[in-house]
Amino acid sequence: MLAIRKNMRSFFRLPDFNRHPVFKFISKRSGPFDGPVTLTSDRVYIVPTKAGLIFSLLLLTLLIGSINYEKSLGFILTFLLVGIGNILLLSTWRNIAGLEIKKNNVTPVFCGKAADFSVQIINHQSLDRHSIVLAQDGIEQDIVDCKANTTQLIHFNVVSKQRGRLNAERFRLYTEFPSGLFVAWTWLEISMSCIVYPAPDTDTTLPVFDHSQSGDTDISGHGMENFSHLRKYHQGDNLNRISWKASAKTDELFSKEFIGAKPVTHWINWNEIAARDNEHRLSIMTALIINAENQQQHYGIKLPETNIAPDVGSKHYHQCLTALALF
Amino acid sequence: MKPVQNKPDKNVLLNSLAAIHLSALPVYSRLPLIIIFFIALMSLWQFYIISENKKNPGKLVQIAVIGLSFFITLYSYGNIFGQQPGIALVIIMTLLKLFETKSSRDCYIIIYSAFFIIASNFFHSQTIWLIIYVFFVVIYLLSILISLSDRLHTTSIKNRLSLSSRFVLYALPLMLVLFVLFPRIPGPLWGLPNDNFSSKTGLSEEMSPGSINNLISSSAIAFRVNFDGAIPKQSQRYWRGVVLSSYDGVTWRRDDAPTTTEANIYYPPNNKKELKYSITLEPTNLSWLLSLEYPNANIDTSITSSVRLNREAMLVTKNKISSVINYSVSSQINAINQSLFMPENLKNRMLPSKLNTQTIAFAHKLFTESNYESQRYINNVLSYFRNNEFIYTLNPDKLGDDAMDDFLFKTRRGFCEHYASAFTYLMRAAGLPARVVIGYQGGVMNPLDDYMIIRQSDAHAWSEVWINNHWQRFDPTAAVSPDRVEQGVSNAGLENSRLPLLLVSNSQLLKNMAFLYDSVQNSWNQWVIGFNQKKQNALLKSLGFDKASTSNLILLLVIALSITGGIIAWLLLSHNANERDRVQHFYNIFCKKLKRYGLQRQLNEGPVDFENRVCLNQKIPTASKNNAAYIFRAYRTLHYGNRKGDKLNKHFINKVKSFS
Repeated sequence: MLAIRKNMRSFFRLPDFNRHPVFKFISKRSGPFDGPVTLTSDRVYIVPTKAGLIFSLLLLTLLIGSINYEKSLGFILTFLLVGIGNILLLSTWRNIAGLEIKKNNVTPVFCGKAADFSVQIINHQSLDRHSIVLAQDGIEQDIVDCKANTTQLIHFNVVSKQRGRLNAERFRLYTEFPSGLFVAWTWLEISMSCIVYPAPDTDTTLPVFDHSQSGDTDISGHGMENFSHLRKYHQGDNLNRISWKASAKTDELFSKEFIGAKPVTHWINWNEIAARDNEHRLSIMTALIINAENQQQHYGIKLPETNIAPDVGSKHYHQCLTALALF
Repeated sequence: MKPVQNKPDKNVLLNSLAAIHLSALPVYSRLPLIIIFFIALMSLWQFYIISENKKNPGKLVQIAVIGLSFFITLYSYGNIFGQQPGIALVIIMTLLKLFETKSSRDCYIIIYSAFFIIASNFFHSQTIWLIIYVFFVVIYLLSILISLSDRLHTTSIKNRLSLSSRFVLYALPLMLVLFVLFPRIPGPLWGLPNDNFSSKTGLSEEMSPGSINNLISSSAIAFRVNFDGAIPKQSQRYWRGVVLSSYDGVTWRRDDAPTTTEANIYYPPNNKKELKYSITLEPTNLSWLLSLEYPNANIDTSITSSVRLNREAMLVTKNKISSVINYSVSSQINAINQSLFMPENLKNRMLPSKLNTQTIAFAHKLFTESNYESQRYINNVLSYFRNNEFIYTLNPDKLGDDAMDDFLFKTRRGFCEHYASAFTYLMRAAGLPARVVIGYQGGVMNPLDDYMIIRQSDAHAWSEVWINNHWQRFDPTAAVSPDRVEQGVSNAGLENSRLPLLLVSNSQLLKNMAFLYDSVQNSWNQWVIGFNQKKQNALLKSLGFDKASTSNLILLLVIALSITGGIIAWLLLSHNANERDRVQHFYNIFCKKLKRYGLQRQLNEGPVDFENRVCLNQKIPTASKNNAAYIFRAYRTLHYGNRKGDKLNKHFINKVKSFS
């Protein structure tokens, strides 16, 4: 996981000053964006850091010293450093300007876990970018380098607090490379959201499926029918139906098909679950879904307004959980 | 995920340690041995802690070390507030700061201190070599800044150095503009510290046997002169420095009574004898200037306000000359110095009592023989030197308590300080006001660049005697060795082994190279070190500004800065010109070229569709078709793919350019 460090510089702790009406023009430029954004000059801001301010004090001292002692070489050193300061300003700016930012897919998470957002940083130029930091609410989230003409992912984690859709908040992309005397940054809000599934209830007694019998349990009531033929294994097939004998002869897995066999199905029904409240009920349903999926049982869910027909497999699993998340 | 950390790593700390030493290196030769030893000890300790990843010493130990360093500085300098002890303390404190570096912020402080230490070098030396060295140290310091901001530590030392040297290169034009056009305020803004930070070879304000003899082996430049008009003969080039009028039996010293009285000099209204010249004086750390006899009080220099002609006809300055300065003088050879004020009249006849009885008796005898006539007495003394086998030598014998007796009647071997001293002594013994003057005599023209070089080896001492109501110069050395005055010290028949190689060498090549080197030095002094408000104003006038005012200067500065800044920014940021745009640009050129075959790309037509049309076209020759196919393929990769090779890019552009 990311090692997170509180950012020390105080002005980083004012992430929202430009939400103020006075700074509305900044807000507008910072998003939210749906498509890719290029960090054009009007989106990149730059100010000296504390180290940069002290550097300017150093320059002032050197200048006064050179005047006082009438040292020409003192002037040369002072002015050289002034020149370097300017070059560093430009270099810091160009370290971040011109990058293209594109949103990336977000993997859903269970409530309470950290949602892992990421955006692509695309460097179209023949200039290596170094030490680009993503910070949110003044907390550094990730640091990446982005070599010339490459794409790099940069992540930020947000701990989900409730089920539903978790939108990516505005973040700050900044860099102090190559000197630490200046910080160049941009505010970005990319429209990305993470589906947050209800947290599975931990107190639910999970049903144990009797695999020896493998029969349809409570609802459909049908037993195992007669064996018909073998077919190739598909993801989501019941492990009990794999013909290990047949599979051992070849490299592939085979599942047994049965004539007249209806898959054993379980309904996870909103109305039949006793719970304190709706959220609790959703949590229990989540736990049941996870359990059923883990055991490769066919399951379907019944919600007050939607039903999802029984099935098994990753796609079905996420479909069900999404339905619960957005309930 | 990558670790995020802000504690400076081992490499940064070791580099910082090296950086402190590199910036302080030129200073080290001037620090007392005990401080050098202390610094070395501390550095070894630091090195051990850093490289072995040991824990830093505790607060108590640190305080003890700081206390110790203050004590050592106090012990070796007697105070801690002067310039020299200040520099020593800054170096030590910067080193000790390494003990408590917890974050990269502490490293910034170290690097800033290093810049400060670099600047302190300029108190002692402002040579080209030093500034070249400083540029390299700045590059190194910058590379540490880069590694501090390189949070993932992915850059190599080679990367960093090349990056920082590029920064310095880009900064040079800005530096130049600022150096030339930044309005110069004549310093100092506040009083300069008076501590003696320089132990250079050069004249001092006292003279004892051996003091000028010691300078003879130094080929260091004392000053350079640009004559505006006639150049006086070698034997007339007495560069008058400091007047020494008190004698204690061994050492001649400057009369240190503070005076505000001005010199009383009569300048005959005959301008033919006027010499105009400007002198670029190397730092002497003394508060007077050199000039030919006798200068006008109007000295044109950057420190004009504080130069005056005192009653001893010395050009005294308010502050010590601690850096190269340039001043213009006009001297009148036939001017007459008539300033003899009461206290001097007495002081310039005083001799230490109960010493050199033999000499005093000799003086009385000679004075009586001269019928108490001053001029005849002086001539007799000079003939005594001339006719009694006195030897002008770099290796005089050691003199006893009665130095004059020993020299005049026993050893008779001496350098100019012996002769000047003995002559002045004899004058005083006869009751004539007399004093020793030290300065330089002679000088060599640089044939390459029409200016005169006066070296430390040209240092000389002579006498001034008050006769006929004015001070007159007498050079007893000339009585012994006329060549010294007429042909310079290198032709005075002195023992060659002690003279600078440069002066005695017969190699014309070596001499020419030395002159060339000195020309460069001279230009450096004139245009870099001596660049001041005066030169700035002259430059402004030559650029067509009739009034050299600060506002004009600032206007010019702003214009020049915007132009250079603009060019540099363009150079720097043109890297950022979007490569995709460039690819697009060349694709458009390619499409234009295809128009020749009657093929026009539709606005909504992608490269694939367009390529298909191009392939089906009958007019295009097969070779061109193959090229076109390559261009389309490269364009698709470059435009739509994320990964773009520089090589492919170049090939693409070349193909487009050669496509027909």
